[in-house]
Amino acid sequence: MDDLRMSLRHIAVKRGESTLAILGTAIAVAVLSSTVSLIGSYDAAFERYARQPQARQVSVEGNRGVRGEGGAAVRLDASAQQEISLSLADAATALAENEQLSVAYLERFVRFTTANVARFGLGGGPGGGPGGGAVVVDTAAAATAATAEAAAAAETADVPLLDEVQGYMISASYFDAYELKAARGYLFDDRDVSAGNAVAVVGSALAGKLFADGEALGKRIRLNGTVYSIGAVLEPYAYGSEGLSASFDELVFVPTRTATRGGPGGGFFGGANSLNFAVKAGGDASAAARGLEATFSRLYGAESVIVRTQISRQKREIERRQRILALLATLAAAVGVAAAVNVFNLMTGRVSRRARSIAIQRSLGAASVRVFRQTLLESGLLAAAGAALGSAFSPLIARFLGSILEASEQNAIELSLRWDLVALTAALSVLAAFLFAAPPAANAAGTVIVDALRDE
Amino acid sequence: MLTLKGIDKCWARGADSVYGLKGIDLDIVRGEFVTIMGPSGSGKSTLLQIIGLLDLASAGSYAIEGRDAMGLPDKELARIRNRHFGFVFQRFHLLPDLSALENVMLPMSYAGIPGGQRKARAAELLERVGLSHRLGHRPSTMSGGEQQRVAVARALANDPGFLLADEPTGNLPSEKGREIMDILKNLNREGMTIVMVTHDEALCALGTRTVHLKDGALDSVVERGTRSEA
Repeated sequence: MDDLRMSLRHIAVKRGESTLAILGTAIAVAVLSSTVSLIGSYDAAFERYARQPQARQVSVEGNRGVRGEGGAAVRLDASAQQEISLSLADAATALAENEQLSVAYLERFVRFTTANVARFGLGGGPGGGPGGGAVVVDTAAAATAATAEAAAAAETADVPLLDEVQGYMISASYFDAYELKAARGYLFDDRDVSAGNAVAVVGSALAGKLFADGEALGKRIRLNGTVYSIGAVLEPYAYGSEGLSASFDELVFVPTRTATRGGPGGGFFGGANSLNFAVKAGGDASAAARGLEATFSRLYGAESVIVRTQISRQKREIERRQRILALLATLAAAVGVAAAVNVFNLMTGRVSRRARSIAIQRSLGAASVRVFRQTLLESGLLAAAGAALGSAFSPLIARFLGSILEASEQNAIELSLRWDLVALTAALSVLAAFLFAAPPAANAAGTVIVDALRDE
Repeated sequence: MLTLKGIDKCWARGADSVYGLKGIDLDIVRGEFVTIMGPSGSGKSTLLQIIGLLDLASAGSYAIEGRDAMGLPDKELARIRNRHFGFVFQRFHLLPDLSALENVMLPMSYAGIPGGQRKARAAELLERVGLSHRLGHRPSTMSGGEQQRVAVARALANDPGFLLADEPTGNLPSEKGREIMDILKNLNREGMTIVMVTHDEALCALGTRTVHLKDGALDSVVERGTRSEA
């Protein structure tokens, strides 16, 4: 009888304890492989993210706790905090001084209502999600906007199917920063922005479901009271949506009103409390951030601005999730060690109970090395069955853990099971079983035939 | 041919040594039916175990087919046990988890005989001992006599030169014991060398030679003529 069949027979004969050993290994492998796989998946997601345009974005914000006074910044207490308004004109200076940067832009995340309600002004709408911030608009501009809103309320618009849409109020460079391209129509440019033209661009998925006929191009849509002409539909975004508030395909984009109109040569006046920059493809976002910090410190005073790279924010987010998973993996590894110890105890017991059978086998011609191998094979089969079962369940557990980790996150990270890591974990569990079964296997191999066969 | 010279077997008991066998000289030639007799504790089973390389002598020389077997590595000893010896124990010593057929196939698997051949030969051997109807039965479902017949079939699996039996009828009712002895006699008649430990004088008479042990030493040898001479 072959060793494999003999081992399978031994496993089948002691079905109960074999099942327990298999289940112990399966639980450890399922949890460990899914957590290790998710950790690996987060690494892969970060690598994927790092190749995308959103990883090359850098934002500069006024430091609210500091009032810049040239080179002598004074830290104020909370009650005396003031916002620092960054001049839009300084964006051009920053671009000139930092060759790693490609464009500067403004962005503000907004939730738009499509209802005909004039009270939702463009500049001060109810939106303002992540990535946005309060916009500083001078009084004259606000008055002009109020007049425009009153006029817009009287305009007619096509009737959309959605009551609410999300999107961004942006300067035109935003499209370049994120490599967004028009599939149909034309993207608005900085002349539209500075002229205050009411033109909108919609994402590919949103375009199909915004109106009953599935056609968005050329339609007029009311957004927070202003009627916009839809001038372009975007190509589906060529990258993932990691690090974004929402997929670009589902968003609408309209010109920002932070910048006051009528600047000479299309330039902007006014201020914002945050400016955004895109780093050139292949550029170093960290180096660009350091360059921006130097520029704005010189212009506004030390510690007057906070420079953030999107990639570092994403890295922190991923590391936070990975720390949770690492803790879980440690617990699963402890369960794995317990399962391996169980295999050790199981095989020790079996070898002890089977001493006479082993002696018989040896008397019939089984060399000690064969007995050793057969005992290892039996424990290996138990571990392999547990590893296979655990691996089969790891996608479910990974999905469950992923849903918990990503459920409350606005920019959910796309995760996929890393089968290579699942296989590695399964292989390691079998290896651990071999290691823990080696001492009882050595005992089996060292069985003294005459002692074990001696009649009691 | 099996040659034992000056075989000692001793165990350490504290500072002292306890001798199980002392200075045993024994030659066993092909076709013999040697019976080993002696009172309890005289070393009969120990001698049989050393003959079958289940245990190693503490001193002396051991040669099988002219080859010195003392000091051989475990793997080689296992190979000699597998190819040259078949064992029949008083308590049968069948593997409880295997069927009769699988028990008989086991020594052949250690000899590397392919599965198909193993099965055919095991079935043939079980038929030879009258158990063709019990191939798939486990030992626990068989009588003592049947189990011992399976053990005899297993002992013959690799067509060994020597069949070593340690009180093969000791655990059987007399009728079943006679059946086993008939099988052994027939095997010897066909040329199989048999070495059997027994305390039954009547069974000794079946052998060609009887070796009497006393206190671990050779007491006397009674020759009745080898089978080849018969």
